Amino acid sequence: MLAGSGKDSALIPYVLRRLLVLPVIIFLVTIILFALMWQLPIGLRARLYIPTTSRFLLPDEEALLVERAIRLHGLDKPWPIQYANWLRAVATGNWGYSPTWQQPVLEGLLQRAPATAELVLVSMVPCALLGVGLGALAARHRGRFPDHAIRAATFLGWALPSFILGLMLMNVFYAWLGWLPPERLSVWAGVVIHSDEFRSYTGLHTVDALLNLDLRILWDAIRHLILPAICLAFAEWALLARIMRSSMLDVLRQDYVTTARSKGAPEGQVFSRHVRRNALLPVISTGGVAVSMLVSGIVVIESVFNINGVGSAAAEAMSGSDVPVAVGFAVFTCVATVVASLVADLLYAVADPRVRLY
Amino acid sequence: MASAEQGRRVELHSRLAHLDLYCHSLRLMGQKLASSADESSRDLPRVLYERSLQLGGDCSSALRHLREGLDSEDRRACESAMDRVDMAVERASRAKGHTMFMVNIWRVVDAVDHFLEKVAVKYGYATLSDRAALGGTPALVAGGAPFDRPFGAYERAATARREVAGPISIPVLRTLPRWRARRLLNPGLLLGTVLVLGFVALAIAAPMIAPPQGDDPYTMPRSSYRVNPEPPRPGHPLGTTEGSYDIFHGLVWGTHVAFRIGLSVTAARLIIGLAVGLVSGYYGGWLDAIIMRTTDAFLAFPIVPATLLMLVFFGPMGLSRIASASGVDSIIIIALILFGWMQYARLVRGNVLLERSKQYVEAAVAIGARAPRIIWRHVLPNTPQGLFVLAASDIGAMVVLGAVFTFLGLSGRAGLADWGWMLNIGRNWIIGTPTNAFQYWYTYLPPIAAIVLFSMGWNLIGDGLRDVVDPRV
Repeated sequence: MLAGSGKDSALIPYVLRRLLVLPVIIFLVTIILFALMWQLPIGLRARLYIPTTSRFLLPDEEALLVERAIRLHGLDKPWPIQYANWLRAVATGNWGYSPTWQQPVLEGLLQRAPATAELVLVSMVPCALLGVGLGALAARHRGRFPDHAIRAATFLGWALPSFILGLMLMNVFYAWLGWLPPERLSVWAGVVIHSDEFRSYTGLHTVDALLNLDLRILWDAIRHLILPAICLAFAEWALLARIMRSSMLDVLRQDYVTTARSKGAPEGQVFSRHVRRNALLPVISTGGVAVSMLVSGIVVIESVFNINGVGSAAAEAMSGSDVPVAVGFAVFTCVATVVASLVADLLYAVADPRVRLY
Repeated sequence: MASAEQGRRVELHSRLAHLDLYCHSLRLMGQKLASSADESSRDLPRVLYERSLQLGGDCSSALRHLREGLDSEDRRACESAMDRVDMAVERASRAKGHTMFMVNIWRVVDAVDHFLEKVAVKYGYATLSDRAALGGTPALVAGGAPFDRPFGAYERAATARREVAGPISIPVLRTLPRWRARRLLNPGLLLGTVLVLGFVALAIAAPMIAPPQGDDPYTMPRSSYRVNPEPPRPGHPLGTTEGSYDIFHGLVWGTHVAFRIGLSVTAARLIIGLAVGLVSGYYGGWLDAIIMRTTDAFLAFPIVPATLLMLVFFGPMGLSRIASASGVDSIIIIALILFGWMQYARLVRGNVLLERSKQYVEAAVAIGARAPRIIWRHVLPNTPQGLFVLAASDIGAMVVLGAVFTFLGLSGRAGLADWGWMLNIGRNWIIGTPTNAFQYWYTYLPPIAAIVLFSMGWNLIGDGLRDVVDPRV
C-alpha cells in the first residue's frame, strides 16, 4: 500500500525534473553548434540567412546580399546577441536557404522526412522485437546451442558495417538475382504515385498504397524497402540482443527469481512476470544510444540504396559544402536524439519505480 | 597438599597445552587449506588432508586424556566436546568435496575452542591465541611444533603485527577481477589477436611487398588511364580498379591509414574520457552536474551527422584544407574524438563513484592526501574495468566510420590508398555486367574483406577481454 501510494505521487515530480533538464541540454547543444559556427568566416555565416532563388550569383550581387544579411541579422554584433538571433531564427522555422536543394532547409528536410520515417518504422519494429526476443531466448538457454548461435549472429551484426552489408546484399539480390532493386519505387510506380488518381495522404508509400487500395504499388514499395530495412536493423538488432541477454542473466541471479521459483510458480510465468520485465529496463535506457546509431545508419544506408530521404540528401548537399543544410541537419538530428532519450528516460521511470527516488 | 594441588595443576596445564597445540595446528592447517583452495588449484596434496584428519584425531585423544583430571562439571563439557570432535572428524573423513571437509574441520576447531574458553581460564591456562593476541612469543615454536615449519597463515600473522607497529601505509588495493590465465586462452580472443597481428605484420611489411612508386606511398600507383577495372594478372596480384589503380597496393597501405585512425582516435578518446570522468566522479557536486550535462549535450550529436558538419565547416571539401600526409583527413579524426569521448567519461565516472565510497579512499583522505594524489594513486588504478574492452572494439569501429566518409566521397582524394575510398569506386562496379553480376568482384571484395576482418579482429579482442574482465556476462 505504502509503496503503491509513493509510486504515483513520485512520478510527476520525476517527470517535471526530467523536463526541466531538457532546456539545459538543448541550450548546451545549441551552444556547441554555435561555437562551431563561430569559427566560420562571416561571409559563410551570412549564407545561413540569404534566401536566393539562383544558384549562380554574380560576385558583386552576392557581396551585396551578404552585406545586407550581415546588417539585417546583426552578424557584426557580439556573440551573445548573434546567438540569440540565431536561436530565434531556428525556433521560428527560419533555417536558412539551401543553394544545392534550391529550397529552404526546413522545407527540404520535412519534404524528405516521410521516406526516412517509412524506412525507420519498417526496420525498427521487427528489429526491436527480434532483438529483445532473441536476447531473451539466448539468456534462457545460456551455454547451449541457441545461445551460441544468437551470440555469433549478434557478433556478426556488430562487426559487419551496415554499408558493407548493403553493398553485398545489393550485389546478390539486385545485380545477380534481380529481386530487390534500390531506390524507393520503380519508375512506373513513381509515375502512378504522381498521377492525379493517386492521393498522397502521409507520404509513406506503403501506407498511401494501402489507403488507395493499390496492391501493386504496395508490393513495389515493400520490395524496395526490404534491403535497406534489413541493413538498418542489423546493427541495432545486435545491440539490443546483447543488452537484453546480459541483463536477463543479471536478473536471473536475483533473489526474487529464486523466490518465485521456490514458491512453485511455473517457469513461463517466472519469465514473463519477473524476469523479462526487469530485464527490459536496461534495454529501454539504451534508447538514446540506439537512436543516435540509427540516425548515423540512415545517412549511410540511404546513400547506399539511393533513397531520397533526409540522410542521403543532407550528405549529398554537404559534399557540396552546403552550410545551411549542415547546420539544419545537425539541429534536426540533435532534436531527434534528445527527444528520443527523453522518451526512453520517461519510459524507464514508468517501468521502474526505483528511479524516481533520485 | 599444596604440592599435590600444584602437581595436579601442572599435569592439567600440560594436557591443556597438548590439546591447545593440536587445535592451533589444525586451525593453521585449515587456513592453509582454505587459502590454497582459493587460488583455484583444487588438487592440493592429499597429505594436507590426511594430516588435518590426524590432528582432529589428536584433539579427540587429548580431550580423552584431559577428562580424568577434571571436575564433574567440566567433565561433562569435555565429553560433549569429545562427541562433537569425534563426529566432525568422522564426517570429515567421509567428506566428498573440499567444502564439506573444511566445514567439518572448522567444527572440530570450534568445539575445542569452545571447551578451552570455558575451562582454560578457570585453571589459569593462557591459550596460544590468547598469548598471540597479547603479543608474546607463541609457545608453538619453543615447545616443538607438530610440524617442522610454520605455515603461511602464521607468517602472515607475524608480518601483520610488525606492520601495525610501523608507519601507516595505505595499500593500493586492486578491485579488478583476477585475470585468469585460462580465460585469456579463449578462442575468440586468440583469433582476434591473430587477425590484428596479421594486419600489423602487413603494415610493417608494406614497403617490401608493395614498394611505392614515387614519394607518396599513400597513393595507389596507376599503370594507365583505362577506366574499366581489369582482373588480377602478373604485376597486379589483385587486379586494377577504375582508373587502373593497383588494388593490392591500396589494400596493403590501407593498413597504415586504418591503424592511424583507429589508434589515434581511440587513444585520444580514452585520455579525454579518463580525465573528464575522474574529475567529474571524484569532485562531484556542481562540477559533476555541469560536466555530466555537457556530456549529455555531446551525446545528442549522432556521430555521422556531427562529423559531416565538421567536414563541411573545416574539411578538405569545404572551407579550410587540413589534410595530413597519410591521407586521413585530420578533421575526421578531430570530429571522431570531439563527439566520441562521452562513453568513456561515463564509464570512468561510474567506476570512480563506486571506488570513492570505499574505505581505502576515505583512509587516504583521513591521512591528508591531496585530491590529485588520491585520484592518481588510488582511484585511477581501480577504474579500468571495461575501459579496455570499449577501446578495443572502438578501434575497429573507428576504421569502419573512417571508411564511411571516404566511401560517401566526403573525404579522401583520387587514388588514395584507403579501404573506404577503394570501396567508393568499387561501388560503381558492383552491378557487374548483364551476364555476370560478379564480373568485377576484385574491385570491391578485397576492401570489404579488409574492413570486415580488421573490425572483426578488434571486436573479437574486445569480446574476449570482456569475458576475462567480467566473467558473469
